[in-house]
Amino acid sequence: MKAIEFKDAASQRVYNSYIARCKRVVKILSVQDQEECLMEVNSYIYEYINDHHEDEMTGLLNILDRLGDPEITLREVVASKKIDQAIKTYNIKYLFQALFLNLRNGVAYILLAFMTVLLVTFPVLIVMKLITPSKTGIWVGPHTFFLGIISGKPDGIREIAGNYFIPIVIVLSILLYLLIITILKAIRKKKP
Amino acid sequence: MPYFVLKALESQERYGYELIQHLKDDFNTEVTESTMYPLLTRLQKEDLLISKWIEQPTGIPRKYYYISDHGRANLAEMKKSIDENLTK
Repeated sequence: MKAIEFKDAASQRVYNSYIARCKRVVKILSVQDQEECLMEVNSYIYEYINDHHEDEMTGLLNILDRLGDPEITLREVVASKKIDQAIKTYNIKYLFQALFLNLRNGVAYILLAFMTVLLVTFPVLIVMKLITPSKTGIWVGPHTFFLGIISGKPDGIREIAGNYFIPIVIVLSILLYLLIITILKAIRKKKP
Repeated sequence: MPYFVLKALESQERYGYELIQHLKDDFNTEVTESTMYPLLTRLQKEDLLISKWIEQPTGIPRKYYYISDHGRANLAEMKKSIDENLTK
C-alpha cells in the first residue's frame, strides 16, 4: 500500500496512527487480505481529501470520523475474510479464528463453535485411549450411550469399540471437520 | 441499502467513495464510509458484486465495483417486490 503523504507533519502523524490501528486489526488475516483492506481504507481517505478542498487536517479528521474506529468498521470485513481463508485452506487454526470472530453473528456460528470444540476433544480421547485404555471408549448400557472417559465402572455399562476406538474417533473427526466446513460454506452462500 | 447500491451500479461501475457521493446526490441517501465498506464486502461475498483494483496516476489505486449477473437478477426481484408493494 502506498501511504498518503501530507504536507503537515501533524496530519501525517494522525494518518499514520490510524493506519497503524488498521494494521493491528487486520493482522489476523493473510498478507494478501491485509493489503487489500489497507488499500481500501487508504483509498477512501485519499479520495475524500482529494474531493474536499478544506485544510489538510480538517479533511483528514472528517474522513477518519466517517470511517469510524477501525476496530469496529473492519470487524465484519475481517470476520468475513477469515471465514474465506478457513474454507480455502482447511486450516483448523483459521477455522477457530473465523468462528470466534463470527460468534456474535448468530446461532449457527455458536453451533459451529460447539462442534469445533467437540472436534478438539477427539485427539484428547485418542491420547487417553492410549494412556488409560480400560477407561476410554464408547460406552453403552441401559439408557446410556456415550463416547468418552469413564471413572469407575457403573453396573451394566460396557465398552463396545475395543481396539477400533481410535480408528472410529479418527473417522468421526474427519467427518465432523468436513461437516463444519460444509455448514460454513452453506452459511456463506446464504442469500440476503 | 443493498437495493440502492445495486441500483447505483446497474448502469456503470463505481469505486467506493464515488458510490457514496452518487447515493447522496441521486438518491438523497447519506452513507458513511464505515457503513459502505462492510456493505460492499458483504454484497461481494454474496456474489452480487464483483470488484477490480484499477491503478491511478496518483499511485493510490481505486477499487471499482461492478454488478454481477446474479446481482442484476437480485435487483430485478427487489424492484418487482417494491412495485408489488406500491400497487397494493
